Amino acid sequence: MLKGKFRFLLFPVIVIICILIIWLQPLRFGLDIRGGARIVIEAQDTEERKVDMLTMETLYRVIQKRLNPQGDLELIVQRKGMKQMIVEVPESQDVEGILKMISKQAVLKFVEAVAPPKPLDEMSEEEKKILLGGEGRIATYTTFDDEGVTKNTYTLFLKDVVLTGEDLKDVYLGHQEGMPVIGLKFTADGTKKFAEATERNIGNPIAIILDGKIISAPTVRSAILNGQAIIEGNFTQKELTELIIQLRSGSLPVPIEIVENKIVGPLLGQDSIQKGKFAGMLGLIGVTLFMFIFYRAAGVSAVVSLIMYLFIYLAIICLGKTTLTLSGVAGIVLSLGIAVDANIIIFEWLREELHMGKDVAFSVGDSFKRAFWTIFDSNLTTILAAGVLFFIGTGSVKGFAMTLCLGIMVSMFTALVLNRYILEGYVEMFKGKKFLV
Amino acid sequence: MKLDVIGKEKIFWPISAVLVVVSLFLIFTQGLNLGIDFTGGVVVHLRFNEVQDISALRKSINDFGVTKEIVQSIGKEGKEWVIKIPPITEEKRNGMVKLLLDNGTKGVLLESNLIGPTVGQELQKQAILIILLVVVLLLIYITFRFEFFMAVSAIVALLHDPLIVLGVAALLKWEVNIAFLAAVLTLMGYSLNDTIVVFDRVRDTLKGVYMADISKEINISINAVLRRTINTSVTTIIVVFIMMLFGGKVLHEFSRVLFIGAIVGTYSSLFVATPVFGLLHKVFAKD
Repeated sequence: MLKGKFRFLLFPVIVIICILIIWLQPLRFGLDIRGGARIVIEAQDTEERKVDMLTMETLYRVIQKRLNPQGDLELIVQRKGMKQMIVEVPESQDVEGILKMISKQAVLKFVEAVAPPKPLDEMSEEEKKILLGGEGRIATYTTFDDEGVTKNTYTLFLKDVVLTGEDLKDVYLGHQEGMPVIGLKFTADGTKKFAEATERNIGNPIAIILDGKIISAPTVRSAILNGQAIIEGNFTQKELTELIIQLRSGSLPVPIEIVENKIVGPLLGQDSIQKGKFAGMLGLIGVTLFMFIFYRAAGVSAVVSLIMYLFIYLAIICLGKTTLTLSGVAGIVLSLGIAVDANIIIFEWLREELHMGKDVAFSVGDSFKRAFWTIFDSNLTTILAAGVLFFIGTGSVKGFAMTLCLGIMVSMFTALVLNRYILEGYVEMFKGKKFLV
Repeated sequence: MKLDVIGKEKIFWPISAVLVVVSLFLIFTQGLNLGIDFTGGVVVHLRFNEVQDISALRKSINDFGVTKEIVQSIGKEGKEWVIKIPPITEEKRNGMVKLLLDNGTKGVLLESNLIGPTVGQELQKQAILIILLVVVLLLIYITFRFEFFMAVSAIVALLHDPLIVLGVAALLKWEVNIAFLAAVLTLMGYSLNDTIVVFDRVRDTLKGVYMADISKEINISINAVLRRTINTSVTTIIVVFIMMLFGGKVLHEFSRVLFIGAIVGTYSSLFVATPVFGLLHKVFAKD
């Protein structure tokens, strides 16, 4: 390794590399620090579909597309366990808006229908059954006028599903006679199905059903061959835009339930982080003083390796694009304490060896060797505990465990390797044990 | 400074026993202040423009149809309040907040937390599982690296610590939530760290010793390791103490648990783990 003064060049180099990394890939702070909306949803089993891996993947994609259609927002969507998903939107307080956007399943179906040939109560059960066909049901459909007053209520016999949301190629906002409508364009396959269906049903309505409710039931006048359709209904502009996003993103594969929702006001977080930074600084100063008083030159070496530890640690966190939460920060501060412990263990050995009158250079090397197993055993036990926290815990607990484990591992490197580097350099430069411990 | 730990173990046993018994008593009578993370419910944190009166707040909440509320003031001004209530729908919560803040004219909503009771239960199950797993894993590892009786003594010291901390928490009505759990687990790992350091020295001292009564050897080990253990703990306590004072509300709650834990942990490594080990060795080891 580098000898003499040159070994001390290693440190600024490491620091500069770390600073570069932190600058290029800045630290990402979690919701509890920045503030924002956090929602936990749970996918629900239905008769038609049980929640599985594919369901969750589809859910993940659909939610991403709904909340972040342009892909430019900082959205965090994560799987949690088998059926749950965490959705976090930093710096947004519009939990209601988000909930509305993602909780609507938006299952779209086009169903062939017929108006009842004679009043319902004059029809026998037999006649009704024949008309309905396989999976049909009778449903009502209400139209409203501009003021929201009921205009007309129709009863329809719903027969077979001819198209679904899967057959859509595009959904857009259109205008017809000055009214906003939803424009639909079907895929090639969908166009074909639609052409066939409209040809078959001239004079009959086709019911457009959203999440089980009929929103429109236009009568087919002629076969539609171009694969385009319009949904008009009594929607406000806002409802239309929402619906378009929801249809575009695809329907949710299963309904979802809101398990948890939380708004974290940034006021709270900012406060804590300022204080946390301050406390961290003070802690560092306190420890530095202590180390210097008790371990003198070696103590200074310990503090230098501690500072290196901080830089390297932060750089690794930035590289890993980890989101830092409040408990994550707590894990960091704690691992600082453990880092210092490793140094103390080494220095106490060093003191003993020097006390016994052994050669300085030898003592330095030897004390590191003897301390290694103590440090290893004690740190590994803490890592075991943190490991359990990491694998079983969720959210904050997991974040804490991760920063703690990482911190302990990095601290072992800085305490055993970098520290030794400095001390050996010191002994070489000052040729002896002056002021060492 | 020479300590005769084993000789004076008659002092330490009663101290520990009393602490543990008192803690258990406190936990079962006072009860632990389980946070919303464990019970589920709604927590609403409001900051008002004017000073509020607690009974007026309570009345507004009750009038709205919510009972069993916990209303706490934050800070000394009386303008910031945390309200905890059993689970209600989101609509109802929004309605309540709107009413209390008079549609936003009287103050602002800082934080709002809704956790369904199932999450609370999930966490409770996890907590027990985590503690069990940690104990088992540690038992295995320490037996492997040291020896069985040391593992048992270490676990005894390990369980001794969170019990006392929980006792303090029950006494002072500290809220038991995720942060508290994380802090307790940390202190367990940390206390263990400490205990291992002591046993590491004992292991060294006992090389080649085969007697049943190893009191002298244990005493030697403790004295040799005393400075190291105390300094180790002091650095931790410095950091934690500073976090307690200056870290802001969240860090404060986390750190105070660690503060007590660090002190108790050091005590247990030196004065609980080692005498127990000495005793086990004397009683069960073959001569």
